Amino acid sequence: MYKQYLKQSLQMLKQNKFFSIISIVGTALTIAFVMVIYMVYDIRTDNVSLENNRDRMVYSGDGYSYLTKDHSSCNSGMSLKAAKAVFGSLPHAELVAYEKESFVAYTGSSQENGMKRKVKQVDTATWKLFHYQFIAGCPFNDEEFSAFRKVAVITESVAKQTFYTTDVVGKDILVNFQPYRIVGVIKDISSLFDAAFSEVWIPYDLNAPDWRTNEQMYGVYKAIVLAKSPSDVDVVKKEIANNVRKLNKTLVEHTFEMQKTYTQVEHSFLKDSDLNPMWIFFGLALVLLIVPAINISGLLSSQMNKRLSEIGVRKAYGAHKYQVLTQLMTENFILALIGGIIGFIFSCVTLYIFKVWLLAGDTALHAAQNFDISIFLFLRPSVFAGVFLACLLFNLLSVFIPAYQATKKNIIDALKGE
Amino acid sequence: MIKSILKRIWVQRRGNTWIFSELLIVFVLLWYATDFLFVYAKSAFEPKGYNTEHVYHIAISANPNLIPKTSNEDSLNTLWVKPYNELIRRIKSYPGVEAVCYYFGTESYSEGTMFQCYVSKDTAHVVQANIFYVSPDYYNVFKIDMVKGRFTNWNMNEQPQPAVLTTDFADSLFRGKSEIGNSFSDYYESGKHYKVVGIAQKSKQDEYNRYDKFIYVPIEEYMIQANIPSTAVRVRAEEDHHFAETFMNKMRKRLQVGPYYLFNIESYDESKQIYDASKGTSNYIKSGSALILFFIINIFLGVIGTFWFRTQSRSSEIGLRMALGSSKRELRRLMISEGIILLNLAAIPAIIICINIGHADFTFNKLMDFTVLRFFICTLITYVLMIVMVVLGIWYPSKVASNILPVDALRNE
Repeated sequence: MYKQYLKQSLQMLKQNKFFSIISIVGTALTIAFVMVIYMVYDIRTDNVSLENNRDRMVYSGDGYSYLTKDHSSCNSGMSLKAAKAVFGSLPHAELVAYEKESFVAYTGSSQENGMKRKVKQVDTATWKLFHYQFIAGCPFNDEEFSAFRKVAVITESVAKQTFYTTDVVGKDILVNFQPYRIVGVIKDISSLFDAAFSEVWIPYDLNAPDWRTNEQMYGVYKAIVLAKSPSDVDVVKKEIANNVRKLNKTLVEHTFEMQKTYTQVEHSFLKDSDLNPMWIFFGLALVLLIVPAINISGLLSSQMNKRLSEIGVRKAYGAHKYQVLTQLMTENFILALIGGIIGFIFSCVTLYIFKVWLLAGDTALHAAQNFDISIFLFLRPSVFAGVFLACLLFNLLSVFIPAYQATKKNIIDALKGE
Repeated sequence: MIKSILKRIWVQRRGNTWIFSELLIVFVLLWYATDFLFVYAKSAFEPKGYNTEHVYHIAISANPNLIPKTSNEDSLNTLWVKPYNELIRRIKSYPGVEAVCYYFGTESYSEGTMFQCYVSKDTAHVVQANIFYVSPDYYNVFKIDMVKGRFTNWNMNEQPQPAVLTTDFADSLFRGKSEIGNSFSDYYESGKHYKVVGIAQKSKQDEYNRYDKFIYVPIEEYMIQANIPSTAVRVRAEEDHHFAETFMNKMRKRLQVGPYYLFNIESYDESKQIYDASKGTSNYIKSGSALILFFIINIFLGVIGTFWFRTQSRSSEIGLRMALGSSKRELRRLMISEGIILLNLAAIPAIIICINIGHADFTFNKLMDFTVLRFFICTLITYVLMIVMVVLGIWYPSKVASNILPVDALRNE
């Protein structure tokens, strides 16, 4: 029976070349657009190798403090003291990593041999948060961190470009003209990973006194919280808000605000606005599917008129309304599938060529290199599932109404060729 | 003729529902995307109030091992301020450099803003403005658009200090009576008085932003003692080829003066690219354009497909018309008119929907308010795009239709 459907569909294709071409082009274009949108969303928000805990992460906002009585002395930024008060005790968090403001520093082996590199100032929790791969040495440990030893972890490229080898553990590297002992070398990170990306990691000073501004609330720290499970993310956000309230009770003349905390999705898209990016993507995909679906429905509708007599004959021979409907839908599904596959290939090519502006976050733009995408990012099962689903949805949308209308017709009218 | 077309459209309303609804939906979506891009385009064309073409931002850093650890004013002068001035002198003498300046303030294409509050004679009326503390040559580097006056007597020691205000700031501070020579004061620091020496055109921090109030005042020596100012150079247009790389290579050693060294040099165009991308602006613009392309291709496909089938199913009617004397040209015009009238019919409810969208504040209003002119221009652009697509889409089927031989057509019936 299915072989017959296939034969019939192919016959139909050949007979109606014009219609088939328009149908396939329309489907391919649509599926390409929808897939690009899906892949952009997926690659930046799904758990992917290095950042494989994205669905449990909560990122801190900037933190904001001011003098309560007249709102003067406004400063954007959070000190370590404030950060620990707000993010320190969260019952539903597995761990919290604090990070001092990252900067770009002149890094190298001497005044002449060096270049600007991104440097992150982190604590030991960061090594548990992100899945870095060490090719030499190991991360700095708690003892080295709390003693604020001048140790550093660097990437493979930094090692090779500065020392021409990756066997550099124990050597000194100058970060902003200060010597740091290298304790570990990490495999290069694609700047696709916004949060994890860096070229050099050094410890921040746990015991450094905070600026006195705004009752020591002002500073340059960020926090990333790992919730115990994906469903705990909202609970963690509420706990954070609670802690902010408690912190304000201890402040005398100032107020501290943490207006926003971000999940991975919110952090990747539309950070500056209040719109939920997931709904925007969903709405966009729907719009992109509906418009061409109407197109194809219209074409199909006209085409159905030609096939009315055929449908009438089928029904006269006992085919139930739903059998005919299924057959029509299967035929068009095959067309949609062909268009879908072409569209998918087209979308992969587009994504690869335009990878920077589609996938890049802030870090990719500053990092001159390191924006490789592994081909396996495209060939994940979730992507295949996405294509199939898109084709199915598209087929349903475009075929259903015309096919249903056609099969509803009275047998006699259909045979008459009305 | 219009009446007969309308009649036919009504008679065939079943078949026309699809193309009608598609035209309507796409009109609204296309209008939204066009409106979105229009706002960006308009912002990009509005002048910034200053010029950053051929201007480079030079980042000077200090070697932390060589920073003088003294608060003695004389030592700071010798070890910190004097080397910086020498640096500026060396940059100025580099071939191709037209002007050099240094400043603190609300940097273009960055997130940081510095602002202060000011009052005029009426101390209850406080106005906030973004501030720039600039060296005298700032005007020559950034070519500020002036309305009145100039950066005269640009010295921090003048009392009251000279200041240049943008028109909107001046109008707000002096309630419309802004003149050269007006005096005003700092709100938070009593004892700090200023005199207006120039009024500049409206300014904004970057293209995709609203105009904001700005004030320029002379840079003060104590600021340089505490921090490294931002440095900018204007390069002569003829010499602006690979300027950044050559400058970096040649000046790296020469700019190691005192504790300072050359960290980076970047053109403002490059900064703009990075900034726009980080804000997502370039993304939005490209996405909007891609969507517009998507919609018009779909309209094209839909129209061409629909009218192709019409040609086939109406071949007998066409044959009859031709037998009764219609020319090929008339037949083509008939088909195209039918398409255009369908579009017009769909445009009416579509425009009503668009008006409602604008009213309900769903449009992109961050950079520009939703005005009647904006609505009119965007609707016009959308309508023209759609008409072009409809006509193009019908053109080929209508050509085929007009080439039908009446004999064949009538025989088919």
